[in-house]
Amino acid sequence: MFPSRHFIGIETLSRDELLEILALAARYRTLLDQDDKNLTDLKNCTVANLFFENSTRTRFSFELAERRLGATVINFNNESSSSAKGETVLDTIKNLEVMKIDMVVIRHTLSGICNMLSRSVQASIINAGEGTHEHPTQALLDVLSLQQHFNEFKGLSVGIIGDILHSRVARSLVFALKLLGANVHLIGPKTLLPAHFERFGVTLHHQLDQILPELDATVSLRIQMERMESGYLPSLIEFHKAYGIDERRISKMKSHAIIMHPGPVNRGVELSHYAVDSEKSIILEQVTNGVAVRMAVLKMIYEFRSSSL
Amino acid sequence: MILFKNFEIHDPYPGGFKGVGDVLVHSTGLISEIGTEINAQGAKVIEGNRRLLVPGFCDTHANFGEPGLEYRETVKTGSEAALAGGFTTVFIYPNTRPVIDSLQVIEYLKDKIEDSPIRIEIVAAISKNCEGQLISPVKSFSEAGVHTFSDGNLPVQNSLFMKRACEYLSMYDSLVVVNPEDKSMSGSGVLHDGFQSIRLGLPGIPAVSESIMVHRDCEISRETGAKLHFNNVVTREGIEALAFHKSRGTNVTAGIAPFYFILSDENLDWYNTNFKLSPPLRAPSDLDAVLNSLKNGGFDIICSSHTPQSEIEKTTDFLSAPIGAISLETTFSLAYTYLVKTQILTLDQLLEMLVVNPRRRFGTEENPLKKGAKADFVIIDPFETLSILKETIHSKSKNTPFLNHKISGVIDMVFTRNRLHSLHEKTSSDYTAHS
Repeated sequence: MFPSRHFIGIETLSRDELLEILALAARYRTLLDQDDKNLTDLKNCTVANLFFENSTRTRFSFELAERRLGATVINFNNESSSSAKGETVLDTIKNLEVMKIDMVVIRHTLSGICNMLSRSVQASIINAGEGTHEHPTQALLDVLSLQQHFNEFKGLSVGIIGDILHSRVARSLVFALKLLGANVHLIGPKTLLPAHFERFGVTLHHQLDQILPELDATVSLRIQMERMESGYLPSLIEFHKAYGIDERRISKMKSHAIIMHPGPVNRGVELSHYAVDSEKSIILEQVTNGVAVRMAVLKMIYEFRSSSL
Repeated sequence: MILFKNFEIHDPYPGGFKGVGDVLVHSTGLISEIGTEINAQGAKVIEGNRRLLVPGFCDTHANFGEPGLEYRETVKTGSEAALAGGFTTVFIYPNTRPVIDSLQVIEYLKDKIEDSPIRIEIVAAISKNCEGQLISPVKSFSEAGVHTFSDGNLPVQNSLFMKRACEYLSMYDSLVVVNPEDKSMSGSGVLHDGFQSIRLGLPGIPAVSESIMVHRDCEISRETGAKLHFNNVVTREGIEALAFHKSRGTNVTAGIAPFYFILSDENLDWYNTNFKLSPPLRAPSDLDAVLNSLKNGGFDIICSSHTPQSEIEKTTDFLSAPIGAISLETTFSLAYTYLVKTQILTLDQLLEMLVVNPRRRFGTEENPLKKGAKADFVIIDPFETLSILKETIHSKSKNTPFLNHKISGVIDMVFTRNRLHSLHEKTSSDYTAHS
């Protein structure tokens, strides 16, 4: 069984644990297509969603997953307190704990905040995206989507494209894909893809066109507008020219290759309109899978808590 | 009178006493005799039992919290920590609230320092509020007995201002001390820019942010004639820069604190904020460069870089946490464990870097183990080991990356300012040579 009270990152998971989560997620995914989607597994469980950074999809996805499992849900969305420091968040959670909250789903701009909180609280901490560290449930839904399409990870070549340096999605996905035995290619400008990434056992590329024909799947990462101001990139147009997926580039891709994106897409930047809507794009499937993997994570933590009482 | 009998005496000064011997301390606190088989009627006798007796250490880089940050460290608690680490002289830095940038603060501190069991020397700010815009009144400070200047962890960024400050300071033969860091490059960084910063998703501090400043300030020192000292040069690039400028004859020296000859960023314990230091722990290749440089005499001084922070302040996320770790109590033992026992340095070399060089470079009172000198020495059990435990730390703050580390070479006693301090007895057994 998945051996932890908290779910903070993919880095500390074993391959078997990852496969176990994926297997359960696949079962929940099937359930989501049925008329009766609602379970009662977590009916004794109260979950707080603490989003200190804006998010629509991930928040709804978590909330739906919690409700599908029958949990009591409370929401706290406070983007205005996105600069809240670790000790403030710790106080918030300690207050929630005495109100008998069992699990806390947290999104925050600070890398490491989940690790810090998990050292000091009894409630389970679930990382819904922290800073530029990890976004583990996003990686789970990405690998579930890849599994649905390719079944096998061995020999599969996945390219992650764009602002790798600042991406929590990229880190989690690299850990997951490496555990599953895929070939991982990181693609981006030197300013956003430092050489140290190589130590993860991945291949680095600064030119997309050379590697694109060899990839089975591309995962384009969302570019933050502030990267231009800090001198990482000259302009969005230049980025699109170098790393954007458009009709011309799609024509160079393998026939079975798929296009992924964690969303929300900057249309015309990471992906052209054509690419978003092309039949290679599985962006919306990824979103559905998101609910299933979050159900799996919640359920497994719940089981762990129940067994360790 | 107290007779210290059959100690392994080790005086690193040229021609200093080395070997098994006795030290007789007179009731005035002066050494009345040093040699073998001294007999002194009526003296209290302390037996050596293979323990070392060496001159008191001098720390050239410590932060206390007075004024304004007393919750981190007071002169009293800082002095106790220093004694526990064998330091009988400590230079304290101006990053306080307010900053040590006025005669009022200097006078206030002198008052506090008077009661300290150790000698405390004040390092004053180079610039008003360490903001790098107005030069401190160096003449007035010199007249008040302050001859060492530094903006501490807020090093002067503007190169032209630094040049002028060095010109001015050189008129009074002051020592300019720099923590080399180009802040425009380190930016919001919180640890070494390398694999670990990537892995943890934290902004990195590039190694060249240090070497650029080593080069800059060495060039300014050459140009202006200012005496320059760096607290910690910890990157391969910075160490190469330092060696280059030393070989050109620049009047520059450098210190190194234990963190940087023991740990690298690979030792980070996830987001444990006790590992958030300034400068940051660098890569293993930098650690190798530090150790090589230590072997080759590239460093002059071993300092503590003692930086207390309260547990409450450190209990936060890594980005928000304040920098630094306490170190006064463990500097000698860590150096003994990781440098002498590993044969990177001889005991004599280590003592030069803790006793002789710091006092010479920073210009403070020297007390070699000689007849007629003030008795100022440390008694160490080199065979004993202990674990660094929160409960036994003397400092007011407990922030150290070495918690639960085992170290060898335990400080047993310190004699300074005519007072013997026993460090491992619960009851206060301090007494003077009168008793």
